[in-house]
Amino acid sequence: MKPALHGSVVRPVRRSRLSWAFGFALLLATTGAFAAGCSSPAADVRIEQLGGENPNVEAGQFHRPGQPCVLCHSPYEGAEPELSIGGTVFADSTSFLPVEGAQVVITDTRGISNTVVTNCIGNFFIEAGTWDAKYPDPQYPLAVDIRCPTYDEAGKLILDADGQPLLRVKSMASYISRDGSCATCHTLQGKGLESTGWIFCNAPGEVNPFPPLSPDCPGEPP
Amino acid sequence: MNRSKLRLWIAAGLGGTAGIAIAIGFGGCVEAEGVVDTTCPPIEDFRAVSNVLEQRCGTLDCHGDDARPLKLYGRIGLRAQVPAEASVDADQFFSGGQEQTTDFERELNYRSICGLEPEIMNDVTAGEASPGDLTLVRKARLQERHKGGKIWDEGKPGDRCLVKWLRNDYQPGALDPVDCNTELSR
Repeated sequence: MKPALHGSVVRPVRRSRLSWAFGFALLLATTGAFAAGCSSPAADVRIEQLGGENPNVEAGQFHRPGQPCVLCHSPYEGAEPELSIGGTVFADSTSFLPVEGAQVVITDTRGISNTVVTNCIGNFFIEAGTWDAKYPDPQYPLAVDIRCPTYDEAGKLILDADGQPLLRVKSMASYISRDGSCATCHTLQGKGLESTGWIFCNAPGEVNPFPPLSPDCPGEPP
Repeated sequence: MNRSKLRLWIAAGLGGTAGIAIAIGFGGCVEAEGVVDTTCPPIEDFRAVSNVLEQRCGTLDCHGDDARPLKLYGRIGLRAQVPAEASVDADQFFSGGQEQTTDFERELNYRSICGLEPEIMNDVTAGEASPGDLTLVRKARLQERHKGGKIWDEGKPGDRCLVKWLRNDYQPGALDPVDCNTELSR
């Protein structure tokens, strides 16, 4: 017959309880070790270098133009929505004037193409899982061209015979091999040994006067 | 089995798992064992191979990254340093600029490839191992996990370009670059 339990009764700790405690501690240690192993110091450093949000711009599709979008909008960092591809188109290689209405045509190695249009701060993106009905995400490598709207010297949008904006095509000379963040290679630091410079429409000397940033645009250039 | 025995077994299992995890962690900290001399296929024939690797593997978001073990330099990707030669347009010496890959960058690519798996490379160069034993070849064929996916199938021009160079069964400077050129023209 089992003795009745009373709060004041001191009982020896049984071996099975010690084993449980030991096991639980090891489980915690193992879980902690694996969790620590899943962090990416390289990604953490890059994210930290991006700095905080611009206090004048709400986090959303108009924020952080020219920054590597997928670095944070990824399963690793968890920013919503998760993105497959994201970038920003600027007017030229000497300014951060954004281009609105540029078409970005992305083709994956399966031959599936998607076209996205830049918003007023020049940002474009494709959400993860939305690439194609059969294939949720693009298969690398990707080929890209941008189709920039054109303006006359008076700053008026030039239209084609069908009344659609006349677009000037610029194609990427190389593939995107694996990184959906355009700004990983097209950095805001401009062209250099490790960067092709930011994405822009107008070649040096090219006359295509893009309008200034709309005062209604919720974003701010870098 | 009574409950206390079951708990003992569970605790032992958890302890074992932790022990394995710790052993794996320490296993990654093996000290280097001196310098390995490496023989490598001829550098005289590497230009065409380098051209292919630069285009197919050397973009900035892939092996044109300073932090990668297989690091590749080239005109469309990572650039090494602006050459001192007056003939070079420094304004065009950037990733994607007009200045072509330099001999210095090509030599860095050669060293990067030869030093990746030096022991196996020695065996391949001596004809004692197959080029397919090299991670470099297997990853491009996706016979081994590769984040950049399949670069080419075994036997296709890009693969033949690399494998023929690695086989080292020709006179230095006499390798026919036809497969490399075919791959570049795709």
